[in-house]
Amino acid sequence: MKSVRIWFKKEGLSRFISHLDLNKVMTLAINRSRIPIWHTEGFNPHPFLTFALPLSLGFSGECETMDIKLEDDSFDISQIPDSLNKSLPDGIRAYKAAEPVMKPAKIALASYKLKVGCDGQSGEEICDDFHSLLNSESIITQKKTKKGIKDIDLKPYLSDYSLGIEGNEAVFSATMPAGSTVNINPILYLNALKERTGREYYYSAARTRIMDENGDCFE
Amino acid sequence: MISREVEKILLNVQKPGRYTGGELNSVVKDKNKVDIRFAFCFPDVYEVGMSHLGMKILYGQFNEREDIWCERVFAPWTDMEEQMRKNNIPLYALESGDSLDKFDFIGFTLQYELSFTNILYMLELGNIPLLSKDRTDLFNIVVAGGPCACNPEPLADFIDLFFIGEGEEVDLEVMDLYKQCRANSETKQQFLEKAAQIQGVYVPALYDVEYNDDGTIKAFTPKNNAPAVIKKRIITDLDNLYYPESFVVPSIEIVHDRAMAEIFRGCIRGCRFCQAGFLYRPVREKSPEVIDRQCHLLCNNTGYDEVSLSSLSSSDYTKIGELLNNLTKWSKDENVSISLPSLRVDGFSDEILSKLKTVRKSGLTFAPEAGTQRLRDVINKNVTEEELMDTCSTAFNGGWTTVKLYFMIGLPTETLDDVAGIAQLGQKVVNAYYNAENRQKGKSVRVTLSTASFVPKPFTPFQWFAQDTMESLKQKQMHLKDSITTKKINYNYHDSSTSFVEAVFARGDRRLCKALLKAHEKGMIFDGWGDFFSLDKWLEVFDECGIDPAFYANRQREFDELLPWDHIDYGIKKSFLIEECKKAYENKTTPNCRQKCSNCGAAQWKRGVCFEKRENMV
Repeated sequence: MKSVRIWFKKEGLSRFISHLDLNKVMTLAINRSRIPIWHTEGFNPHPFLTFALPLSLGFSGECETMDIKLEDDSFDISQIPDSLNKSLPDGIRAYKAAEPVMKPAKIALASYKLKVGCDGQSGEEICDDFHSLLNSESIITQKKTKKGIKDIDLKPYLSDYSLGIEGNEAVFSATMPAGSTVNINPILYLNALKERTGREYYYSAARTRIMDENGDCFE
Repeated sequence: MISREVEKILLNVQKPGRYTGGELNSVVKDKNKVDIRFAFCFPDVYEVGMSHLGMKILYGQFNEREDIWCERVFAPWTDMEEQMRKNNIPLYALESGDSLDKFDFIGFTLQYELSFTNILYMLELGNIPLLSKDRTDLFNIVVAGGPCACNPEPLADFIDLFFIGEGEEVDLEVMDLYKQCRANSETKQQFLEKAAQIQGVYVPALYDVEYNDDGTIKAFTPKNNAPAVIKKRIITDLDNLYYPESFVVPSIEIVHDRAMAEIFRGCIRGCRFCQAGFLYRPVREKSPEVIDRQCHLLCNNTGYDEVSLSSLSSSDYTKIGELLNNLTKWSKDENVSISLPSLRVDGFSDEILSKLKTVRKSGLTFAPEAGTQRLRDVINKNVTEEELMDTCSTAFNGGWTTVKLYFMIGLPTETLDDVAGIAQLGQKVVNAYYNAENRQKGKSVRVTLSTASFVPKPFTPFQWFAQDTMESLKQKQMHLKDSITTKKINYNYHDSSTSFVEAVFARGDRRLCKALLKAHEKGMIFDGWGDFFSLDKWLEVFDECGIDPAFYANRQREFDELLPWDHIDYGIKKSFLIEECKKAYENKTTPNCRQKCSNCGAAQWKRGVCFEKRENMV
């Protein structure tokens, strides 16, 4: 049995497919493409696949990964992206398949790009508001956890970031802790901004990079 | 493709995947290169509509034609509605993102009466005038079909044209006529008058209705050469009928997320409460080779690992053994499981059982419909208690431990003893489990009894019957609950108030259009959903419109009354329905179509079971 890591982009309309549904979409695509995937051996055998790091609903992802196991070790894995792409909905595109190098538990950081717009405000104005928020001593907002809603200070996680302007939108790019121990969603900063200004924002968000603790790309 | 404006609001709603389109196998065409744009509207949420086989068939068939582009539209949930209204976004089709008012045809499928308010909701959100008379151009033609089109009258003011019967052929004939009329610069009125000449097309505006003082219908008069009787359309050769080779594969989870193959249309049984059993006569089967090929193609093209064999009563398929043999030849290797819904109690053999078990084991559901033999005879559900017990024993010995049994309450001639009979039947099934020698050791049995309230429907022998009042239905539900003495039996029941409103619209006439309009003004939507249905609101609507709902639901009709759907002809003779109704009250059963022809009228189509050789005749 051979493990294979498949890299894909999840963009456009497909960013509205939730993590749970992504599992279904990928399962059907694999069934259709006749990749000899290993099935679980329980009561209801089903194709086994796992995702290294779930992507929030609405986010696009530029370097998402999914791990599968193959029953047939001689299967040429280089053809996997093409055959999957014939069976995937708009916006999801596989672009690489290779044997995994790192374990998913190694994931520690992720980079995001958040574009924020607001009716009646220019990109500069949004950027200024963002700036003053990020420069305050603490950035308190609420975070939903399994145990309920709790207050969290976002300031300590803000080490590597930049603010910019694209047209009428402000662009917040940042690298945040990610993975199973600490995971910070950049939308939390936008929530804090909403609470501060009382304005309604629209946004588009992308995860651009997934890394280990040394900042090396997840492979 | 949906617009940037829509994308902006999608992050503010639940399950945005409902509203994006872009699924695998969805069809996108160049709108400048097609002649007819058809918006296929399902008046419920995406997850429900996408589960519907009829939509998949017609979507595929329309899009096979180069000159037609058929797109899908579903009713947005209220969070999306709020966002759309706030941002001035009209209801749009998923493929192009264009609003409903850009379409030549806006077609609704009528699957259940409680979805009627959603039709008005969707039209309004799509900027389409609600009333047929307010849409004067030969454009934005609103059409409807499906089982509830058998009594189109409660929607007569809103729909320009109804398709009566099976749609595959008549739909395309109407599309061709439209193209022709448009090329000749004809008016909508001219188009509708010509369309009315096509068999299976009903144009309600071409008929006048007069009423008697007691509220019943006095006369129904066609105008402008429209036919006095509208005859249904039927497909005679299922093997050569279009069937999609692939389905649009939803990217989010839907209700029935699997490949589906139709194995036959119609039903031989003639259960007297069942509208489908009469509307789709006669039984016409697809051959096992065709079904096998279609199933295999569908699984390959969608990636589904489950295929469901769809029909009104799967075990009545004459070549079921052969079909299952063919299917299991490839399904096992490809990890595909076969499911057979609508199994009858008496059609559950060891052979079928073992085939179904090869890949996956699902729950078992049977519908004895009534608790006592007398009442089962009344409704012509020709299933005996012995057969049910044998079947359950087979299942229990085969490793099953849960059984669901469906019943109806409020059936004609029903007494409290019949109702208590449901609980007794449940108890006997529990006992059968403990008498089954090869049952799973150490496991307890779960029997679920589920009751729905009977709604009398047009074109059935009970179409004259007064529905039980809500009080009486509630009393029966409580009586059944009190009659259950073991914890191994679960009992659940449907709310009787929804069945009451359903009964009003099922056998309603044109005067109910006013009520639908009023309900729409009050913002009533999604009546099929417990979260939204409100009996009080409906009673308020009827009251304000001066309509007595009991006139439609709880009134016993005479055989000689002119019924609102009497001008629609499904090929079943009214005299046959009257005869069946009388036999019901005498507790007499009628043999099924394969045992003996009962001369219902369906033989006029010269196809299907009516012309099969019966075993006892050979």
